[in-house]
Amino acid sequence: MELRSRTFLIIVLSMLLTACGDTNIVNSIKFVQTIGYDAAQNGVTSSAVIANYEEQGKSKLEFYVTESKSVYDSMPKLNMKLDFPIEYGQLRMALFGDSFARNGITTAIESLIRDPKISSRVHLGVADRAALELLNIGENRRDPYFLSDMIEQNMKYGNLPMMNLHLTFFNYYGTGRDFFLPHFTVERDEIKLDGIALFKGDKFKTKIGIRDSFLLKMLLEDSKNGSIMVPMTSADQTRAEYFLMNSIHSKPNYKVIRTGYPASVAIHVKLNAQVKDVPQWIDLTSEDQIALLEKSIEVYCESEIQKFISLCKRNNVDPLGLGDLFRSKSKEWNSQEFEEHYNALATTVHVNARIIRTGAGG
Amino acid sequence: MTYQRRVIEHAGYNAWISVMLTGIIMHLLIWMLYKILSSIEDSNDIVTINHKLFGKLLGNLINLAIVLYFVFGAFVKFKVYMEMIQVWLFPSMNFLPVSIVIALLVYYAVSGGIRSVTGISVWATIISLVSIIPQISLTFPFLHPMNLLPLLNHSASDILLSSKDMAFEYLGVETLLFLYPFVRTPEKSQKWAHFIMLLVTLLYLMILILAFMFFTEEQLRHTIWPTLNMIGIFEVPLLQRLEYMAISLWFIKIIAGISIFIWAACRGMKVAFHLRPRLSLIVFLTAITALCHFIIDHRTVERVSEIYSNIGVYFLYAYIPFVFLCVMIRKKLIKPI
Repeated sequence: MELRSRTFLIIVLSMLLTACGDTNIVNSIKFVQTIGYDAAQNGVTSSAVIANYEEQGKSKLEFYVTESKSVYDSMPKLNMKLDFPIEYGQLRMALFGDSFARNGITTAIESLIRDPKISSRVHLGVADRAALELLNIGENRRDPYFLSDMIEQNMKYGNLPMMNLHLTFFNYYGTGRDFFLPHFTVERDEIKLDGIALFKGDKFKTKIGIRDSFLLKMLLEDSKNGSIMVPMTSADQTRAEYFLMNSIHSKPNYKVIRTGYPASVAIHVKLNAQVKDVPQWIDLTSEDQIALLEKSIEVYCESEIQKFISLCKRNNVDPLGLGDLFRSKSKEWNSQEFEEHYNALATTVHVNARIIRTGAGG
Repeated sequence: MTYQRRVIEHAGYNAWISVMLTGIIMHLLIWMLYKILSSIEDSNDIVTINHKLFGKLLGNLINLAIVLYFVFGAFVKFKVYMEMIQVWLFPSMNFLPVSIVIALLVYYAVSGGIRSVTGISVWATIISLVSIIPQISLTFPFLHPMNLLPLLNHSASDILLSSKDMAFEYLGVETLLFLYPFVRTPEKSQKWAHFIMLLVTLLYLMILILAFMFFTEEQLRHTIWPTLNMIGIFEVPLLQRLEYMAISLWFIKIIAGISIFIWAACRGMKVAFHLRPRLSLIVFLTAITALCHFIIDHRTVERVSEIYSNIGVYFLYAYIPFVFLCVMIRKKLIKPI
């Protein structure tokens, strides 16, 4: 009897525990899937893209725009325009307009990270115009996750290095690091990912193209599936010809040569590549010609990486986390001092490319 | 759950040394506890030892303090967990019913006696051990080993200060003071106690180093629940947000911790003041639920757990060595006679 009543008690108690809580029924809340922030006169314009699921599989995108004093009161203001309460749990993308990003995005991203309902896998991005305008184009796609899926697939199969809210914060709070976000533009009424926006502190500083974003990816992580066009001089030495190089695997390696100022670092990249679209006169079965291609990849990547690093130095941004690298190697590292000497930082770049696949045709 | 942020306050990313240091000190304390509990004939829990050492009146005063300390510990555990649920799961829920239900569960566990309390603890241990494996494997792409370098850029005093903060996480070993009489073969159990302490230290060390590689130092300072944020990055099929599951799994750990503390307190009341455990159990749980209802803001919770942690540190680092010394002196004095 004793045992039975005990068992009964514990079952009742566990049922009580599962049954209490705030319930949110899917039909009676509005999921914000993409949010855009723009600088407005004395305040922020927030635009929320909300999918309205009417039938299974079909969704109609709704679009709400509101102006508020700061990012913080955009949600209460949005609620004034909605029939159901707003829910941020499904947010996948936050887009910043150009002028908003140039003024600094700390308030926006901090309010995202403080909300436990928002996943740290949320993607952030910068538009080359007002976020509102860009999102209005995305509206045609009938897909609330268009932008975030686009970023996701380009990180996996393209030239974008890994980015999300967590990594943005990692770089933002990390000493000797600056974060970067994907940059969007519009081409023929279609949204296009056209590179990466480099930030200094929380302010959008400069933009790099999609080729440089491959270099950045190569310098940070495995550049798997990324690709660039590599130039080479043609057989008759008259014009430049290009071939397409796909990265299969790459691994960067940093070696600090000197921690005192001017500091110097040696960067060594090992790259395994696939080449299959080449100028006609190249024979991919010939050992010598392959070596020639490898050589052109190496020379091109080395010089482009140097150019990319000097661009970073010119703009005083550090997306590679070189400051952090030196911090980890010396005990009396100081971020201010490093920044002052950042321009004089010496880098040597060495790329070791190997073509390991040449496609199916000869 | 939150120690990653607390330990870096002084020693920064050298705090892993502090964790190891605290682990070593804990081994010393376990050794002391065993010595204390086994040296005096026919008095093998702290209540009777206090009676023998300090006399009936003073001894009982100390016993009461220890009992209250355990209840306080249970309360802090309870409240910290509740707060986590409030922030992460149900921000607008009324918490009185929930805390009453949890209190009833603890009542059920503790009234089942030492067996059911240890039973829950076993499950809690298994959960913590098992949960570390997916944590390591899923965070792997986000780890930056460079964060750990340079290895030594903080002073020894900073590292010691951090290891004081770390002691909070080890609070709970002192329940041995009451558990000891229930251990069938004390001599054999000491080996296991040291073994589990080693395991716990390694676990803490692993989770800490994982967090260090996952967050930059400044970022970690801005993160209240680092473990949860870390779990938040995982993406598994079906479940988009793993941290909700983690919080639910933690429930069993929390219940185990609260039950052990409350059990120790009830046991103390019984041995010292001959009170019926059921009565003191009800009083303690009611007090905890009521306190939980009245303390609502995060700042007070932080302050309360800081007070608790300070008391705990003195309990471990001052009271236990002091009793140890007394017991040893007494042994020396009595022997020649």
